[in-house]
Amino acid sequence: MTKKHYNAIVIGAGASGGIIAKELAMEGLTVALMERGDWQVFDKHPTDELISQRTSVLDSVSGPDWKKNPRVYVGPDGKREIVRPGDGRYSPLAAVVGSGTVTYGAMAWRFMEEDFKLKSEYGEVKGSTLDDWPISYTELEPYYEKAEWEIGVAGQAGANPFEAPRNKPYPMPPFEYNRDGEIFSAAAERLGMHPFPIPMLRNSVPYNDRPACIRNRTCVGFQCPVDGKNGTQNTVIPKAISTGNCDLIVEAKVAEILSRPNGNVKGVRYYDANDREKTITADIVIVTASATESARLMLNSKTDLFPNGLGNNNDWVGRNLQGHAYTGAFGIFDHDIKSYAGPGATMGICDFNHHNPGIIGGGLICNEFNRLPYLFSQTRPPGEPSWGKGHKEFQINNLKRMAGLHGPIQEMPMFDSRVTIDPEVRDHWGIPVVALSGQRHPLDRVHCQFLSKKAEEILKEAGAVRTWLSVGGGGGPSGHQHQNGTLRMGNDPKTSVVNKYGQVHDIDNLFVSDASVFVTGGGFNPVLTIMAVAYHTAGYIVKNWKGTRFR
Amino acid sequence: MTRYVTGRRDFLKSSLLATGGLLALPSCLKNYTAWQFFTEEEALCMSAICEQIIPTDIYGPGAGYAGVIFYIDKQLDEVFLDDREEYREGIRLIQDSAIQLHGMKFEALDFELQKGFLEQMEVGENRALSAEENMQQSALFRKMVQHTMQGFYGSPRHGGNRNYISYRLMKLDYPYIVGQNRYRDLKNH
Repeated sequence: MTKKHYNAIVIGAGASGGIIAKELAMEGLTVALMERGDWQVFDKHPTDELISQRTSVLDSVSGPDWKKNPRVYVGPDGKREIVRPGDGRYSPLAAVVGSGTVTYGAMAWRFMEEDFKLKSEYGEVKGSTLDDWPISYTELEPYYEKAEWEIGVAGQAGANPFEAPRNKPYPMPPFEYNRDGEIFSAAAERLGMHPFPIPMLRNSVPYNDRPACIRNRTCVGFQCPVDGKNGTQNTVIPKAISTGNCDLIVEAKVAEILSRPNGNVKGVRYYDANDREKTITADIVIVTASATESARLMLNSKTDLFPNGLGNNNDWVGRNLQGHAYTGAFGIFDHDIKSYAGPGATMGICDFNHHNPGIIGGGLICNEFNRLPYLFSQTRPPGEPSWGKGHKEFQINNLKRMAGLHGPIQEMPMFDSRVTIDPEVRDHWGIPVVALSGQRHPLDRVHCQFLSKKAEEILKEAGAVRTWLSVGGGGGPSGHQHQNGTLRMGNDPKTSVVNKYGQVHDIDNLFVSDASVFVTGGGFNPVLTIMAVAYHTAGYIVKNWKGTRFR
Repeated sequence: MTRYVTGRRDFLKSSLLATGGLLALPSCLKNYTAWQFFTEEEALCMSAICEQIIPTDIYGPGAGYAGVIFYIDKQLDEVFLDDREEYREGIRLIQDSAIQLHGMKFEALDFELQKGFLEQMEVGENRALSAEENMQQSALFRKMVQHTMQGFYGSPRHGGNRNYISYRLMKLDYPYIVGQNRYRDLKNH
């Protein structure tokens, strides 16, 4: 039974929403945790590549529903095109309880100290809105720790010499290297690099009342069949519900945040599982719906005080959409190098995050997640046939002999890479949809080339008989699974949307906490930072909660 | 004047001669009546294209045996709704130009002729077609390649990859999932 009024409404039960709901519910606040999807059920997609979150050819088993959730993609030539979640340009994220934390590869990176002050480190970048975060690594450190222990991370403290200072080790021992990880780490060491086991949000040993990882081949893009992968759906969300203070409302599509005449927000209007329009009210609202959907909700919520959308009187809402250009290199070996045990990525290298001459930010390098058979069929060295006898022969002979080293590059934020609301297209519920437009900064491509060449060096040293680069960057707009930056945090209300606690400038009881508040996206997978920021925001809300009202 | 002789029996005979084995065709194709999108004639053409994209070879069966045509037929009916016209019109152009260039329908051409025909389709150099048609056909061929790969390398749940044939060819063991994972609907195993 849902109530009519809650202390807090949290919109989106993903990496951040689950954490905030739990933190608030534990403190005695009544919470409505709203999720557009439902609990994911493993049996709907047993090891099925074509409907997985990574290769959504026929469907996205983790949602969102293709038919009901269109978006608009605006190409470089200004051409508008309606896209569905199966289309890479859509920038889809899983629409289930836990969202991407159900299906992710689960790398658990802390950003480095430099990642929070890129402008101070590197200066102005022409054509980019590059800036410092209003919060430092040191301020976030306790919250990283909290995420590592409560959600559950396996890793080796101190194994990465470039790691920012930490107060506590990881709660679980690190994962072993797989076969290619072993070979690549030895090669990287010979080259003077510093490989180490990737910290992972998976159980290397039984933890949190759930079993250890079984090295399942179909891991990234899939729900874990033994629940050895740690997300908010199997940690903080059940905990939030167990307090009795948190109602998880599934299949709730929030259309609009409702405001009072004084500018404060008072609740939300949404469509329930049966498409009935409903309203609930709250003392505070926390938007945790992802960089694309949180921006959409803000832009779709217009009032007299904010005629262009909540928090948008400076026209910064939806801007600086970032993600990660992935870049690297492939190699073919004359022996089986991939064991094909899951998930596949075990070794990381942070030598190329920061302090490389001429490179702003940089990015990490990892060995790859398994390429399942169809995805593998779409990956070939230049000049190889794309069909016919030669293509089949390559597939049969090289599935375990081809390996890649890749990483996410620190993108340069672009003011015009953005989320807007399409003037015409509506979703199934009549809610105006996201339009994505803009381009990546040309420097991204340069940085990608740098990282790809480093990856190729390792492959060659490891004995690859044939190597080739796979260079990312270029094109645009950015976004995708690592989407971030659209509701930037900052001290100056003129050039940001929220303050360092995620509180919207000028609206005391409206918060945002997900990757949209990121100033820059780092050269790392973002999820642990999303979680740390969520704990930080939740801590601020709890501290300022005065019994029945906020401040 | 066209030289080709139509009729399913002739087709089957020539196709067996051309490809050297029953494996090239789904064994049930000749009596199959439950096409959801393709007409029977289109299916024969498309099936030959699939077998070109992933042929039977020394490693084992190709797209024909795997039933990739059933995957594509099913998905054109259920998911790839935007591709329907392109397929229909494209297959018509393939047949028309095969007859014009070689006097026979595509599926009746011998294996090497089919291959050469598709290579020209891929790069948009079919002499029998206009520049605009060639551009469309080239895009369609890329799509056919992708769909064939999906049908061959994807899960049998979607209509192709019969008996997990592609996994066997790649020497993939059954994915290890404790207590949960079994291949489903495995009749001839």
